Amino acid sequence: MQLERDPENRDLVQAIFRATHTLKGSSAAMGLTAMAELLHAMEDVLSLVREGALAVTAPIIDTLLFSLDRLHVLEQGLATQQTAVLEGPETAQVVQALHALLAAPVPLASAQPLPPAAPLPDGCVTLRVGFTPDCQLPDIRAYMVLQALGRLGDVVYSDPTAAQIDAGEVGTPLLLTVALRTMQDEATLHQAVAKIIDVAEVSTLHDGAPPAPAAPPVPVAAPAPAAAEDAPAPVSAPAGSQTVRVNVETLDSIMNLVGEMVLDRTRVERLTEELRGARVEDETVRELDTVAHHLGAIVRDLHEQVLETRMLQVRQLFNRFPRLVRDLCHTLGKDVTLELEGENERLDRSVIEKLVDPLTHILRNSLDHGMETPAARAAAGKAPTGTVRLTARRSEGYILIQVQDDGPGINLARVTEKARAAGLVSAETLAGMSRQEQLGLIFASGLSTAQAVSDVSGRGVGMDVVKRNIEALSGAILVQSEAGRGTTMTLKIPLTLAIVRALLVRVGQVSLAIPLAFVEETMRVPRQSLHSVRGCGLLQWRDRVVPVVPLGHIFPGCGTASTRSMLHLVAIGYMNQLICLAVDGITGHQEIVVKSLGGYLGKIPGLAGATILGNGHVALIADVGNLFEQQLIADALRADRRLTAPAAGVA
Amino acid sequence: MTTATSHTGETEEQLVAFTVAGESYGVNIAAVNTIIRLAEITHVPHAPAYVRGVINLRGVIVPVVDVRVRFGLPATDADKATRVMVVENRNMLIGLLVDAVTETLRLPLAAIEPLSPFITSTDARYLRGVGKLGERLIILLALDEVLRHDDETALRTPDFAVASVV
Repeated sequence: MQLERDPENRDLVQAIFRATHTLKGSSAAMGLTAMAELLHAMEDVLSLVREGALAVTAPIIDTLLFSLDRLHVLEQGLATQQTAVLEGPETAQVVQALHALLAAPVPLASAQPLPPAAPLPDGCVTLRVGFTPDCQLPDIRAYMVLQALGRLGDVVYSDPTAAQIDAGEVGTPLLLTVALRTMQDEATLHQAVAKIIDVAEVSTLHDGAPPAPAAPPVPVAAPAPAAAEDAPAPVSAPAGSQTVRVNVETLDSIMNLVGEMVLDRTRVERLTEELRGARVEDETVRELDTVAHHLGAIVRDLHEQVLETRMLQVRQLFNRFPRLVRDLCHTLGKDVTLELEGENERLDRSVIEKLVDPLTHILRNSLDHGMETPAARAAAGKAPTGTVRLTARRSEGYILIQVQDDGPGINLARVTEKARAAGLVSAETLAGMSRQEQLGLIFASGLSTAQAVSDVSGRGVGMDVVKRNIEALSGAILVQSEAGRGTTMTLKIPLTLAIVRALLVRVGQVSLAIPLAFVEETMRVPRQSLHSVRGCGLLQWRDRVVPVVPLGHIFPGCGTASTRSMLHLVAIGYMNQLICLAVDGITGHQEIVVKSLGGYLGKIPGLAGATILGNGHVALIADVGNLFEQQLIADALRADRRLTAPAAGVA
Repeated sequence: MTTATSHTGETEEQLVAFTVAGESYGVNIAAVNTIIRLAEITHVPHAPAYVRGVINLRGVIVPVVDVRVRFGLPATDADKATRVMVVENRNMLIGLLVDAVTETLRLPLAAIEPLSPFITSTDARYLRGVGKLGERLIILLALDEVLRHDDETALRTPDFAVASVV
């Protein structure tokens, strides 16, 4: 994929070639002839590309990607012991396609020979390290060399790569080539490397001589199961990072235990506080206080570290999309460049997993409905190639993921027309909706504005599924669109599912946590400043008229009876809708550990679960999306005829 | 589940006895996880009326069912004797709010009689028999029934497509 964008990148060809070659060796060694044959054909094509005899063109990339798909099928067949898959004729067809490429080589446009070496940045030294032929544990030795050199400078290149070394894919006799950006002189480097056991010789390659060896090293018969399970090792592992594989379930249970500790820590701190107040002179109590504080600090750090272990780079999520966009463009006859940004941001792994489907939906929609054909774009005076930008950005405990296209924008007239025709809203309701709220209709189920139902984005089940998935993550989704300029979908997702930042409010005796993702603002306003329209309280806020709903009416039985002249209001936004909740008090905001209400209670309308506060009390967590969807707010508004008039009484 | 002892060839059942509205009840001791005083309880709006609220039991959120309300009696305020008996049922922890927990006792299986067919009130399905212990009568609770919602689907409201609040 990267190669398509940068067809002259020889390092890349080299890397792909090497991976293919290694894999071929391993599969041949394991008697997987079909796989080896396929890889061999791929390697032939790649080698021509590498030598510059074959230009990188779309058909070549297509065939290679197709081969890659086939390889995945083979790999799965292998895992499930399906010999039919392994020996089927499909593989042979792919091999033939690859051979066809060889038969009709497209000469390279600028038919220059492969330069002897990829140019290295200035200040680089390339070392070649040879090991004794009877070297035990060659991968460990190679790793030690990388470590030693990493201490003296930045390793910019190594062959084999750190990832290959990690995976045990090193040749015998081991020959390691390392390019290093360093301030150290040659002698220091040589000395550092020579100290390592089994190093036979160290030499410096001057004038940036080829890091690519003439003959590819013979791959070791790698530990068999590893090669079968996860074929391509991740390439970008930083040199010198040591990793251990941990079961996800273990991580989850560690996470739960630490969550408990965090709660207990708060309790211990509170109890110590009480003791200290009661027994000021007691030496033991003072000692306990110190220990409790220290314990608190440790638990805080531990908590952060555990959260960190669950984090993955957004790259893991974004990686699959260039391929998706490319394939879709072919199917749809469109020309779109996908730009990625913010791939280094990190997110809880469970969140990443749950974002795959919604983002796939959004991208498909964007390409199918939200992007014109090249001809239509040209007619509209736009560049024929469309652009979709997929960005991730961190913002205070949340990650904002944006899909932004420069297509024609959402046809609002058609959306509202469809919604009305499908009976989702009445013409009357539509007339009273703002533009933003009308845009929100695209998330209604049973709404698809595509002229023809296509097999790409389906029958209008896309966006409501997206919405539901995002809500399941306690996230929010916002759509903005400008006719002729394009559409932007913004997902606001908490960094982790287990812990959410929430605003704590009080309704009667009950503490309620509202996830901060939905909170627009908190304010205190005098009761008189509300307008009353047919008994409903309305507030003019940010040039909009926002309904005010007492939270006690949405959640009856909490014992609220607020008749005070100053109202505490929490403005919450959801899917382009805004309302203000009137609460009895605002306690503050904090991170809460989300817990389920349990199977016995099941799904309670308007509630997402519960959490345990520092004082041991239980607070309920509001499910904001559900509040809007289950008509709870509308019902409470209808029931509310008393807010504007000071009246007593419990709901 | 709670009558497992009868399958193992034992001749008696061990019970935790408690009182609700002046009557003695018993549940199999194997079902009881713990017995605690009623401390902080959080009301859960939109839950069935017989759910008094949720409590924090050592970091786990546990719903508490008011047995009086479940039996169609009016709720009363908690007093010094009031207890939450936490039982395990269908792999869930559920608290039963009872007037008092009196004792644990052994009841010979032979002393358990099925419910008289003359007791045909709607509550009958909550009971699985009566145990005679000397002069006392202990009503054996059918936990599965007590903890089954009247209408298991009633809690799930249908999905509405779009709610417009304006």
